[in-house]
Amino acid sequence: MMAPLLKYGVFGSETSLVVAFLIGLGFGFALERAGFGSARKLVSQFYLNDMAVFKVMFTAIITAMLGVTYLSWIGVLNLSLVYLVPTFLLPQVVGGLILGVGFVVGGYCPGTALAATATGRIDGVVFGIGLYAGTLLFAEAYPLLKPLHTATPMGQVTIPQYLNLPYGVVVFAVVLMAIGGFAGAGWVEKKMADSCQP
Amino acid sequence: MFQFLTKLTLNQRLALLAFVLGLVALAATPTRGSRVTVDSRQLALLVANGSDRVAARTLADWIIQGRSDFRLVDIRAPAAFAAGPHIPSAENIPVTALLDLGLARDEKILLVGDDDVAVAQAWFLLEAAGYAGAFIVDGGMAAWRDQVVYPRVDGVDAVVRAKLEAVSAHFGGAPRIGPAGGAPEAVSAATVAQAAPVVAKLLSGGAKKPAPAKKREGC
Repeated sequence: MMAPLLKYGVFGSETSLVVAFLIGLGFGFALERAGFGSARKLVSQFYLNDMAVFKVMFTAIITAMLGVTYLSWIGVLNLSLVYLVPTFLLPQVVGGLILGVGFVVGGYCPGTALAATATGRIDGVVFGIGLYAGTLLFAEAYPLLKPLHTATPMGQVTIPQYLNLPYGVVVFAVVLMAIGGFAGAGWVEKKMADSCQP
Repeated sequence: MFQFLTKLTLNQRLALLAFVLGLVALAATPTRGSRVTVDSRQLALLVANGSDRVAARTLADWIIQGRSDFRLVDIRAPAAFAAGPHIPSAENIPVTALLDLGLARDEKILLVGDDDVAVAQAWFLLEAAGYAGAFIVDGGMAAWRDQVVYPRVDGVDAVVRAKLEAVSAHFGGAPRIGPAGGAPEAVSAATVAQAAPVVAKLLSGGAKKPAPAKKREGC
């Protein structure tokens, strides 16, 4: 059996919706278990009291990265058929800034807002409504925003391709970054906890 | 060794595991090495799904957007390539030279030519040699001419028609109206000049794409 399963016709588009639903359940469960259904937990990342967001997200990244690397290495996954979001440098920088501001001010990112909604948090519900209202606004204003939305297209670029480095070297570098980041995060947490003592 | 492991916390053990996996991955070549085995079932599935093809109009959109993540390879004989029209940014590489060219194995390689069988054979050659990102421009140069440079625009709605006209003008062509199978009309310089500003407007404005309904991907 070869992956991506959908591309190789292991199941059709209808079944893929069921698969997406199951993966979504797992994702929501993991977010809630990590405590990300609470804006307090999420925002304490920005006060550096609790680096859980950084640790959980970076753990997810290296777990997925190592999984993809090994699966394609043993020939089960065809990397060239995995969908990559095309890079549009300028709009993605602008969008990242907007998302960051929204994260700090609102206390959620889109996924965690839905997890919070599921557990009945009112701030999560309000954030979710804002999310859809913003999406609608974007869609209606799209003719105006299109020049920005399609600026600086680079296609589907990957780091090994762009930096002309061997794939394995980038994988190892990201793992080292993660381990260094975890150690640093632990140090920052300890420092902040000490400075808060009376 | 075992005692050392038991002293570590769970997090430290996981970090150690990630480190070891990352270290081993230094040797990984996930985009296939030089030794290849052709998986006939996998190739057959690619062909059956049509996921080995890129439509001429999709290619036109990519060129207009200025995307640089693919290489367009024209496999016609150098004489035919030089004589006839060719797609902008196409490199002329005859089939015999295809494997000596140092194309990256994970690169998106789009093959085009005027002989569908030859293009398909070149595609198979690349696939068998481990180039996982080889694609065929559907219909070759004929589709490029009939769908992009001189597209038929009778019987399509106005928005689609405007887009087709703009794209065709971008590549120095003109849309065709009239009986099916007719030869492309002669393109006057005036038509092209008139249509040129429309391209910029349409590409930045809200024109609908004529592309067929496609599976949505990404989030």
